[in-house]
Amino acid sequence: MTEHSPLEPALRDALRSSTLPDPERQWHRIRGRLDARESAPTRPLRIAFAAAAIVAAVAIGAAAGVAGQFAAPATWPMAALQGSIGPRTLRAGDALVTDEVTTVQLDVGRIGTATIAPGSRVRRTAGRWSAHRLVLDRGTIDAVITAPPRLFFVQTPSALATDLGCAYRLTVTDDGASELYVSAGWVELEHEGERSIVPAGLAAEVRPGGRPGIPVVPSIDDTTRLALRRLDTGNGSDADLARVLTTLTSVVDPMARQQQSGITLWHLLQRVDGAQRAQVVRALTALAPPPADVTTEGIIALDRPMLDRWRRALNPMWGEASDTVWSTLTRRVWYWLND
Amino acid sequence: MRDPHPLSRAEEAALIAGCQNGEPAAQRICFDRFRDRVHAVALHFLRGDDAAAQDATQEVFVRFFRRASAFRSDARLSTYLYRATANVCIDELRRRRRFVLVGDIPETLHPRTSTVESLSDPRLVHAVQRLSPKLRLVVLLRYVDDLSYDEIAAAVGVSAGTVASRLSRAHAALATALGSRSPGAFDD
Repeated sequence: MTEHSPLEPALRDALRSSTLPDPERQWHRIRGRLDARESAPTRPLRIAFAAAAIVAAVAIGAAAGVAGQFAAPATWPMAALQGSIGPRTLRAGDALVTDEVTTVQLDVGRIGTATIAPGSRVRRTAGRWSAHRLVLDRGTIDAVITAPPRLFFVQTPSALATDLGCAYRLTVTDDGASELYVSAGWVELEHEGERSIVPAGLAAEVRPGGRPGIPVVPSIDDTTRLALRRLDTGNGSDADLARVLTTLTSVVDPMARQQQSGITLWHLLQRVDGAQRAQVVRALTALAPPPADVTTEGIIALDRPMLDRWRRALNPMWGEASDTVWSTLTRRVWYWLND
Repeated sequence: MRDPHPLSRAEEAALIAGCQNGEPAAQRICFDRFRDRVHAVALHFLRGDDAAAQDATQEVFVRFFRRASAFRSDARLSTYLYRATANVCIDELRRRRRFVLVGDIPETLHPRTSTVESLSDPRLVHAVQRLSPKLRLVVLLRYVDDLSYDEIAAAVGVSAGTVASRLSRAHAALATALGSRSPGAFDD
């Protein structure tokens, strides 16, 4: 019954000549997804608690309006800011490719806009009712999102950028690295469980296969930038640390010193260890003392709640300035539903 | 690309058992043995879109490892793996609607030809990628990994006779395509 075609040798040669690029990165992603699934709370329990919280929210009446406002519509309209494209829309599963001269503004549902630069390729993927998801394969997106956090996600070859209520520019370079600059609000960069949270005025990069870098002001000098990068990868010397601390603590503007240098140091102390960590903690304490319930010992031990409390004191995110029971509850429900 | 050192049935059963137990070492062996073949099938099924093929490859292995506990221990590893590959590729095809090309996109950046030119016989690969999905899938499973008709049938969920019929039509269509169009065997 087996048929043989004269094309068989050519077909075998032609179809077998490719290999999977960067298999180690693919393996790490597979393991990350398998591990995340194993450690997540059981879905039925989350659904039960989420359902109870939804009933409470709907009773007040605001939830109905929120659902309508923030649900991801089937089509996202787009228009050319430069060049001409005619009426177009983007649906889940579509890929948008721009040439070297055309800039496209894409409505991200009803929650904001994403400006796609020339020479870019983005794909819209499906998600939950409220999740607005893009994949940026190459090029640049400028996003402005006017909605609660964790509704807009951009996946790049090296990281997942989660909007926390903001405006930002995200670029994927030819080698697959991601470069992020946040102009308003915050963005979380995540790769294989490692995170950086980037506030307004700071930038961060992610090299392919690496973890999200330490956020830092883009105007920092190259010598300090390279020293910081070496410290982030575990190759930093004491001289590198001294250079970084001197630069960051000598910022003149007190608000910038706390909200920007402070965040850089907050990330740095988690990326170094031993005597270097102690030095960073001392420098950060001198720059912006921690809240009363945060101890040096706890920070040295990387106690997560203490680290979060200090970060909020340095530079609070949207909604964090208010810690009423209601705001905390609604924030947690929102995060849980959209996790 | 056919495995030069195929596993014995006993070795394969042990590997399946390891995957069923969620053992990372067994999963890694499975991934290393099949990753290029799964990627090649996904790449050509998805018409040269390497970004989508890499995503599909990742999805194949995640699904395969998550559902390993349902496998029969006497079944072939490749059967389950290529079944997952077929399902993921078809799911991806159903999800994707179109490419929105804005402006004058150079050939080198065109999403559907981004990898064809780098392969050994671009014209033949292009012809395979333009077959209808049903014919394309059986061709890829046959020639990427030399699967038998029965193995292809198990992966795709049809009879061996249907596999033979589809391969025959695909061969005829490809032979014609290298000269002119064959109606009914291609889609656009």
